[in-house]
Amino acid sequence: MGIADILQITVYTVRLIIAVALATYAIKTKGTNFWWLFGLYFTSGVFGLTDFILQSGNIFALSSGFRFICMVLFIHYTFYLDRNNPTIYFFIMSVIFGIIIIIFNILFDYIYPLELYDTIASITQIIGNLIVFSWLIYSSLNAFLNVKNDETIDDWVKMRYKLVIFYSFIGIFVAIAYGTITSTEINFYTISIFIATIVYQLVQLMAWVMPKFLRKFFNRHFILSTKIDELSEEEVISKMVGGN
Amino acid sequence: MDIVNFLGPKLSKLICKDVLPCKGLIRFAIKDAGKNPTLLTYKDINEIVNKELKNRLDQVNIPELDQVMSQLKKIIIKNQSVFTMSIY
Repeated sequence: MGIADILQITVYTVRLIIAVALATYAIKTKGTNFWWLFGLYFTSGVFGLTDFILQSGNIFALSSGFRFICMVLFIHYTFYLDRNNPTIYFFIMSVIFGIIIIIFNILFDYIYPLELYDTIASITQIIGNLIVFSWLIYSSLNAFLNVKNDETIDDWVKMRYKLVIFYSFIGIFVAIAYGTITSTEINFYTISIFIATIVYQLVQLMAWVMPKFLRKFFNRHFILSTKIDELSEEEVISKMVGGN
Repeated sequence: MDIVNFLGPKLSKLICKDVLPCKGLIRFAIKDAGKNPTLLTYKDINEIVNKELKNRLDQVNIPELDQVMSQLKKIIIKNQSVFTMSIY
């Protein structure tokens, strides 16, 4: 088993760990958006590991469309409920890109191994990733700028936005790198991809499965400006009716 | 993130009352809805604000309640991702 194999197993295992954490959040909160993010990580982990075990080379790619859809719906349910949004366009794009990737992968693997088919599938996958990650960056950045100066929001929550933005940028790099890599020889390019993949996994893990000590660490400067004194119901009503 | 601490100061600005009783009102609204304040989704918060908190504000005769509710709803829509990002 080479270093590439270990890396591949690690990547997909980390995705399954994140999927478990997200399923826990989804069950706890009954939140739809976490189920879509769970779908993304779970599919990615399961299809990736199946791909590795069977050494088929295309099973992971076949799930691309579904993963694009999961990401689009996660962004929709997290950032764009009850407001004008472009979700439908991203959804249609995900379906079309998913179908293109499936068709050209099947053509390449089972009908005729024309290099052009593989190139079209790879380019479609890169563009799809580029679009959905860019939308996630745009949405997270906008939301982060909106809460950046809000002193009632914990610093670790603000950090989670930053981590999502950061891993999305690396995600774009990793998607382009994997789509364009032509050799597995050890050189500057392959080492960069290796490092980027490790960082990508660690940041995703940190963002979605943030352990308590990290939350505490990110929150070390967070002080609520008002002490939370609990008033009785009578006191609340009296202060509301009687004015300040 | 504590929703009471998050919404309290915003409600206080909207209705020009002290932060503390505003937080209290939100706390009681969540209690009225029978929800756990640490596990509220965007949907839960919308429902609580539109029903229980509105009732509470109505009970204490807050003027121009519809306008206050509309502003509050805008704040919640604008900040909806916070409710997802603060779950752990």
